[in-house]
This record gives sequence, C-alpha cells and structure tokens, in this order.
Amino acid sequence: MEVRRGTVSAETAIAFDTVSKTYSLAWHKAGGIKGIMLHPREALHRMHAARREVLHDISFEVARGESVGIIGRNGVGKSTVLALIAGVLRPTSGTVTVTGRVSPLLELGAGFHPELTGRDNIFLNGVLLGMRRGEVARKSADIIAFAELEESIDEPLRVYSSGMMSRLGFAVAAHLEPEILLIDESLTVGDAEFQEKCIGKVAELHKRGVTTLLVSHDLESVARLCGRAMVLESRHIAFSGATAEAVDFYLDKDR
Amino acid sequence: MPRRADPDDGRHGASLVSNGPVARAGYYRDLVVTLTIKEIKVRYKRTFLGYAWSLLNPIVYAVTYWIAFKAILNVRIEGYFVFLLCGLFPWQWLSNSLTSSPLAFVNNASLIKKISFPRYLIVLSTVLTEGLHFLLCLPVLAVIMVMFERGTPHWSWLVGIPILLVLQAMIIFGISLAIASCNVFFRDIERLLSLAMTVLFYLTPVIYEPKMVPALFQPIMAANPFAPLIVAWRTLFLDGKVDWSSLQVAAIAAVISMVGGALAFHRMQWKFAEAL
Repeated sequence: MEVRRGTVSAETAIAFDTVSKTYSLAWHKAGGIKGIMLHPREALHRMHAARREVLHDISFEVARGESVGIIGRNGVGKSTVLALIAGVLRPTSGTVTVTGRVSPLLELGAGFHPELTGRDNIFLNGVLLGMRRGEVARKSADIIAFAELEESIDEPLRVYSSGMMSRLGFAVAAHLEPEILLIDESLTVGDAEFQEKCIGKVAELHKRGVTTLLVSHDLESVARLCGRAMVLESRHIAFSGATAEAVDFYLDKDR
Repeated sequence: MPRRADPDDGRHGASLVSNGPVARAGYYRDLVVTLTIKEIKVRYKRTFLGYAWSLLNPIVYAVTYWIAFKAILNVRIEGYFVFLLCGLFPWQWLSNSLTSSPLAFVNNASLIKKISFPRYLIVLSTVLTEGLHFLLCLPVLAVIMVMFERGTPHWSWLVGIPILLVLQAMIIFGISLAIASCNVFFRDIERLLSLAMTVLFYLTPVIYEPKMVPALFQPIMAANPFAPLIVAWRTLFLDGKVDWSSLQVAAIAAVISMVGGALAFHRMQWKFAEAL
C-alpha cells in the first residue's frame, strides 16, 4: 500500500520514496471465466503466483527545472517509471509524489483517430492531454504551423504518412505548456530536420524552467538534453550522476 | 501542495488549466464534449445516410415485427406499428450503448496506458452519443404518431422526457461502466452480452404489453430494470401521461445501477493500464 510521505521540499518536482511496482499477470494466466469456473483452485493459485516485480525499492528526487535522463536496456522498467509519474499506474508499495502539471509525452498521438481530419485530431488529442477546448482553438494555428501540415490538415489522418502523424503528435504535446515534461523515446520522429526541431523545442521548454524527464535509447539526445542521468538495471537504479558518467557506466555494462 | 498520482484527483491534464474543482468540472465537460463529437463524427464517416440510420433501424425492425406479430400472429394491440416504435426507439439507445460498452476501455488501450484522465468519461460519452441520437429521433416519432393517429405530442412530454432521459442515462451508464470494466479482464463478457441482449429484448415489454405476461413470468418483468423504462416511455408517448409508479421503479434501478457500476469501476480502474 501507499504511504503518504510527510514533507517534500517545495523545490522538488518528482519524488520516489522506496517505490516498488509489481505487475500481476493474473488476468492472462487465469484463463478467463471458464478457467475460474472449471478449476477455481488452480486458477486462483496461478493468479497469485503470476507476478513480476519491475521496480524494487526505488528512491530518487528530481528538482524543479532539472533535466534528467533515464537509460537502461529494454524491460528494466523505464517506461514504468514514467507511467507512475504520469499517474497511469499506481505503485505497489512506496510513494510517488509529483508537484506540478505533468505533460505525458509518452506516445505521440495517443487517441488519434484515422478517420478524423488532422484538425479534429488536434482537438481530440489536445483535450485528452489536458487542454480546454478554447485553449486548443487558440493554439491550433501554432500547432499546425509547428507540424508543417498546413496543406493536409483537413484531410483524414489515414492518408498521413507515419512521419506526418508523429509531427502532429509532437506539435500538440509541445504546446501544452507543462511544468513537468515526460518524454519516452518520442524525439526520434520524422526526418532529421524535424528531429532537430523537436530537440530544439524540448531544450527551449527546459530553458523556461520546465522539469524534463527523458527516457531514450538515443544516448546522444540524452547527452544533449539532460544534465543528469540515471541508469536503470534489473529493478533498481544502478547509477545516478552526471550524464556523461552515466552513459559511460551504461556502455561499460553493455560490454 | 504536493499531490499524488491519481486519475481521479485531476492532477493530470485537468490541472494544466487550474486546480480548482470548478475548472476541473469545466475540463471534464470539455473532455466529454470532445469524445462525444468524436464518436458522432467517426460513426458517420463514409456512410451515405448518416443520422438517418438511427431512424431507419427502429423503423425497419418495427415493420418486421408488425408483419410477424400483427399480420401473421394477429396480436391484439391497437395501433401496433406506433406501439412498437415507442418501445424500439428507447430500446435502440439502450441496446446500442450496452452492446458497445465491452469495448469502451479495450479499444482505448493506448489512451488508458499513456494518459491519465477519468476513464469513466469514455463510457459516459458513448451513453450520451446514443442518447443524443435518441433525442433527435423524437421529432420523427411525433410526426409518425400524428400520421398514424395514435397518440399526439402532449404537454406532459415536457416533464416526462427529461426525467426519463436522466433515469435511462443513469441505468445505462452504471451497467455499461461495470461491463466495460469487467471486460478488460474477462473478454468472455463481450460474447455473453450479444446473447444476453437478445434474451433481454424478448423479456422486456417492447413488442407486447406487460399485462399480457402470465403470472408465472411476472417476477422476471419485475426484476428487469429495462421494463419500467420502456413502459414509462410508451405511456408517455401514447397516452400523454407520466407513469410515476414505473418511474419510481426505474429510479431505484438507476441508483442501484450507478452504485454497482461505480463500485466495479473503482475497484478495477487501477488494473486497467496493466491488464490492457
């Protein structure tokens, strides 16, 4: 269970206090209603046994305005950390404290619908990410311009290329004016020129004091954008420190 | 004040605007409006008839049932065609909402796994979309009633329609929420539901009058939360009367449904992102 933490400094944007996250695989293992009805004992047993711990007793803090990278191999729980901050998941034990408005730049274009036009999708995505309708209306011109999609904005999304879709997704997310920006691999979208624009936008937000958390395999963009980095490794933080050292540590481990 | 991650406390998106409960309510309203607009736009993309489909469906069913039960089986109900329509339009709202409810969360897996927002709003927007269609069908129903000289629009509609709209929305919303939540974990429900809806249709007095039901089967009518709704709609349309006793039963059903749906949803919502 969660335990409410007493005090967190006003300068702290994100605090993890001995956070563990265990995924239950029960639903896939119990075998549906039939499995439960036909073999209740066995199904229950499997439900209890089928658990996988992804994070174990993790504690860290991110100060307001800091830019932190999280690196690590696939499946070590990087995305789980972001999902916990975004409030999509709840920790199995420990406390996650987040102070400030979070923009989950987790999956570009989450909620996009292929049959709707680009303009309709800006509204849909923008409101889902936390903007009021009026806000989206005010910013839509900027969003379209940033995405460089003036010509095809009134066409249905299904005719867009994947690059165009990512550009639209990033453009919406970038106009949210968050206090905490969570980025999951999403900077590597579009062509090289647009990637540059994305990195520029993130750097600009960071300069304005936005706390940034970046999860990426792209060590280069982590090195460019983050002042500090953490290396996640089999359920815990193996290293935390200056980005260059973290990258060295990670590459060393790879060998 | 530091706050913890919780989709219900509005710390996520809603707080991008402001943290007060008023602003949050405003944001949730925007979310429902946007999701509902999306539903409507998506539904009618690439269809020629668009909104006409929600008229055509009940009318075609009514004609079919009229042939089967009036022309062939000679059921003794006056103005059977209009009688059928008065039950079929509200039934369509009910049936379409419930039938699509199992997929409400499953089909929005990418949203649920990535963005924190009150998930029940997805279900609510489906119920409201169908409710809106129903509302748009009412003028057509009124015209048909006048054409067939069976009942006329009446002042009592101004009282009865809003009450029934709210009660029916509550009943559907609660049940849909429970179904949508359970179906995340047990996909059997999806299959079960299409069967259940067919059974329920014949156990709900849409094509017959409740008084025609033999005493032995009366308990089934009493246990069916949809029965008082349909009876109340029809009494309102055909007789211009607000059927307060049916409304009472429907109100109890609405409260039970909402509480049950909320409990089921509340218990399971944190597992959605993991199970999807």
